[in-house]
Amino acid sequence: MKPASAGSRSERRRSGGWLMRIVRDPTALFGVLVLALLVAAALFAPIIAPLDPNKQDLAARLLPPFYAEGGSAEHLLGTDQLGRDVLSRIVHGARISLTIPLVSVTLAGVFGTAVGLLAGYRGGKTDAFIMRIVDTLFSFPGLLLALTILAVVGPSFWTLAIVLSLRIWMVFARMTRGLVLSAREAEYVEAAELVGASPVRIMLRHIAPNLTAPLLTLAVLESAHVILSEAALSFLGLGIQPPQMSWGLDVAIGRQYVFSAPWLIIFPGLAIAVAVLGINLLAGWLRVAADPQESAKRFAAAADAPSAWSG
Amino acid sequence: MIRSDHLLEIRNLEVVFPTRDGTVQAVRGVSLTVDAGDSLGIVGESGSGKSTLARAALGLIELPGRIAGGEILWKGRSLLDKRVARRIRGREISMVSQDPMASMSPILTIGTQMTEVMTRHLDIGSREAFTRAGDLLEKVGIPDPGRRLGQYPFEFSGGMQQRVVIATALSCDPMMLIADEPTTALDVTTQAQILELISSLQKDLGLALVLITHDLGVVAGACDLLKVLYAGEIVESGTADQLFHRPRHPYTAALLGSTPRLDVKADRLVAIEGHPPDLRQVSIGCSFTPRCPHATTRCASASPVLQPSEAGRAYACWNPLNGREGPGPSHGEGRA
Amino acid sequence: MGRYLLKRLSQAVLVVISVMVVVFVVTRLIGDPVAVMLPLEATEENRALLEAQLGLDRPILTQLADYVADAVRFDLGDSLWQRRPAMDVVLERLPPTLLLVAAGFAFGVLLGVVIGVVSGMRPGGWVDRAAVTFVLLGVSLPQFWIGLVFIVFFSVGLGWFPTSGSGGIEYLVLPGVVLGLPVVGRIALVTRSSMIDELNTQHVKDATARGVSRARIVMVHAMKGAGIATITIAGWELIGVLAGGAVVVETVYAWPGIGFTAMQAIERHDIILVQAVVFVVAIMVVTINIIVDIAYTMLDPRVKFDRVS
Ligand SMILES: Nc1ncnc2c1ncn2[C@@H]1O[C@H](COP(=O)(O)OP(=O)(O)OP(=O)(O)O)[C@@H](O)[C@H]1O
Ligand SMILES: [Mg+2]
Repeated sequence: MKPASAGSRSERRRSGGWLMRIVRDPTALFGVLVLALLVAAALFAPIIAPLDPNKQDLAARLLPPFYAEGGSAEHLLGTDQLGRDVLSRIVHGARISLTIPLVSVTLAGVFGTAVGLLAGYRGGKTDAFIMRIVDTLFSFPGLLLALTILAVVGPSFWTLAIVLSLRIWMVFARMTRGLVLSAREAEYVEAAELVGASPVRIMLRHIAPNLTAPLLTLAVLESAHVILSEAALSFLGLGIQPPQMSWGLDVAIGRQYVFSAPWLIIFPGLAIAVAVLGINLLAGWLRVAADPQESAKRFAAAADAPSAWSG
Repeated sequence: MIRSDHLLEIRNLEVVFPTRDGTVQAVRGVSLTVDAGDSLGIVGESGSGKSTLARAALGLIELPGRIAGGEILWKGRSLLDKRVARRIRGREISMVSQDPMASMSPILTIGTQMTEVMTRHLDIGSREAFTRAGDLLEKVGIPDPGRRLGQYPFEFSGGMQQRVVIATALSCDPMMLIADEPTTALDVTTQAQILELISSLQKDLGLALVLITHDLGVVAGACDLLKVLYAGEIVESGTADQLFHRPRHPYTAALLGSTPRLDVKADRLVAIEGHPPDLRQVSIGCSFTPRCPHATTRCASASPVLQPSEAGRAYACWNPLNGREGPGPSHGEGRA
Repeated sequence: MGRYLLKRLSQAVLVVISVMVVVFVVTRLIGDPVAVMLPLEATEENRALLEAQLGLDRPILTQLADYVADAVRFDLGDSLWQRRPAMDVVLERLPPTLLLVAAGFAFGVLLGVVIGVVSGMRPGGWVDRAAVTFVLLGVSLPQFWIGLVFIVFFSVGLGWFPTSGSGGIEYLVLPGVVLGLPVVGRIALVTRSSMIDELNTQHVKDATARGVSRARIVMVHAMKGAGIATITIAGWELIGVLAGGAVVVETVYAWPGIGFTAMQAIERHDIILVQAVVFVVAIMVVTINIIVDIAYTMLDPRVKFDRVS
């Protein structure tokens, strides 16, 4: 009796496909929803945002959010020192929080993966040389150096995106190299090499498929880091510059009113936190979903505690 | 306390492991007894449930696995009771496992890992435990024990390390030793030495020994009694002599056929054809049916139970081999 | 061990020099240091004067050679803002940073290890689920924001701690906690997963079979193994705290350390002073790396000095 019922449940569990698997897992669902919200806000900001984020209204300065005394439905999350609508600014701020990681992680991912492939595939001296550089860069004082570069070169969207990608490409290089090295040890790759398949073919047919899932997971995870770094740099005044909008920048502006108008920092900060949390959860779920061993472990843990986290 | 006249008595034990793809029934209704000074061999292919049985006897089935039925009694006390099991483990029953290099922490010294067991179970301090550990190493044939105690497992060879593991298992003067494939990870000459060591220690100390292996050749000399395990069930039991020379269950015969023997020069090792059954879907008939050369329709529809037969032996088979038949159909008798 | 250390030290010097070369290249070649340093209304003569004063009118390679040679002698030039050797300013502001970093890092590592061990002992249990949630928040909340929220809540709202500045221990609490919070999260995650791995090893199973107590298995067998995995991460975290977190947290709390100083220097276009901060931090980073390597070797008997390199 027992094995039969357990079997059919696992059938259902597997048959749903990716979408069902996401919907079944509250953490993944949260991550996906956050990401969807972010994308929607970034694409349709002018439609979604109730007001023009840059429209000043000096008569309506520093209005509190709707729940506080003096708050109104017109400015749900209050207004800043120039009477601009906080909610609208947060909706528009999503653009930067989406585009900066997109650009930085793509740059870093492409470059880092290429370098990692080269090191892992060529091996020998090339590998040693590349990895020496990568290791050296890992011992660089990251954020401080980024600050210095931004201060000298001058902050802008592109300098920010490039500096942030310079900080993380090594992570991709290191992971790719490791994956290539272990994939090359696999028998079928050795066999393909023996029968004289071309390096490009081996790379594309046999090695690349092993790279996709872990690199994708890494990219998602690094996006969370990039959002946090962008926010921190913008907060310090060396990231996004007005009149462009960024959540970190809004927190920096609100900082002067931290005692009288705390909502100016609370809500943009919450936006950062929710975005990063969602992406982190998604990355965690991806890692487990892409790794059968890890999923089996999760199952065992869930059997241990009946009402496990992922339900 | 349940009445039991034996040192260890296992009654109808069932162990299951729920997994994502169904529940594995690793041990299915095994019963056996071990008395003081006995030497029992448990033989079976990989996956037949030998280790699970051994771990169950130490109260070590971990989640998600669980004991679905049956009893395990140690001197009449149930080892299903965690507190009882905890007191008895290492103190009265000890275990030696397959891979000596993986059996001890690589980052703690041999001395630390030998003495931590003694200071817990015996009423002695750490200095006394170290002296005792040194004596034990000497006894299992490790020279210069004083220096060796300060070393780490990776500084030992496989055979030496297995001696250390055995010494540790014996450090609290247990009454029973369970050795789960103690020689599988070792090379052939070392295997013989370790087996000899276990046998001689068993006789010297009057230990009860449960020796688990997939290799009938290993248990032949070391054990008086044998039990053959297939797909979580005991399919045949008897003395080593009986099973070796007159196997009744086709599986035992097949196992003999796949065992290199010293007295018969075989050209090649004959592996048993086919695969053991999927333990997630247990059939209603005899689980050996698909691989059995003597199977009939009856075998597929009804499961034979372990029947006692002549001279204390027992087997679970509808069509047992003739007792006078030679060992295994696939085994040539004479020299080529 | 002596030869190994010598090798590591020379590598470290190389790293510091390459950091400084990168800074040099960025400031002199990509950026225009004079333009950054000068006020907007500066004339062409002001510009030439400053260039001459900084030696920027010489060939670029001469400049680089001099610059590295000076840096090796710990001479990074005079701070434009403070009008005294930049190194003096940095060394003066270093102790508060060290205090803050030590406090935040200690808090982060201690709490992280405790959380990681406790949740790794029973993965999936309620303690574990609570811990993982907390840890996820710790690594997802922006540090500067937590800093400000803490000020709103604990300083302004409850009046427990001063809002900013330095002085007695009460000034250290909020910035220390904020600095350590992401460390708690990441250390806890690593400790947790290595505890889970350790507790699933064959040798832990066999130790249980030998009759070693659960407490000893967790506290000695598993924790020593997990500690080896955690120490590398702890080293990275310390570097992150020093080179990143401290700048942000010091700025939020106006803590008079080198991070805050770097931000002030940037505001005042004092590139020389910023360079000096980067230099000192780079030295500390490579030192931490060496210490981590040595600690690793001492904890793990399988790694010997001659095999590390
Ligand atoms: N933790 C577990 N989770 C799921 N299944 C398990 C677990 N432990 C054992 N099993 C299953 O139980 C069955 C018996 O395993 P066991 O390790 O006892 O076999 P064995 O006879 O010792 O084999 P071997 O000779 O390979 O050591 C196998 O089918 C195995 O897959
Ligand atoms: Mg086994």
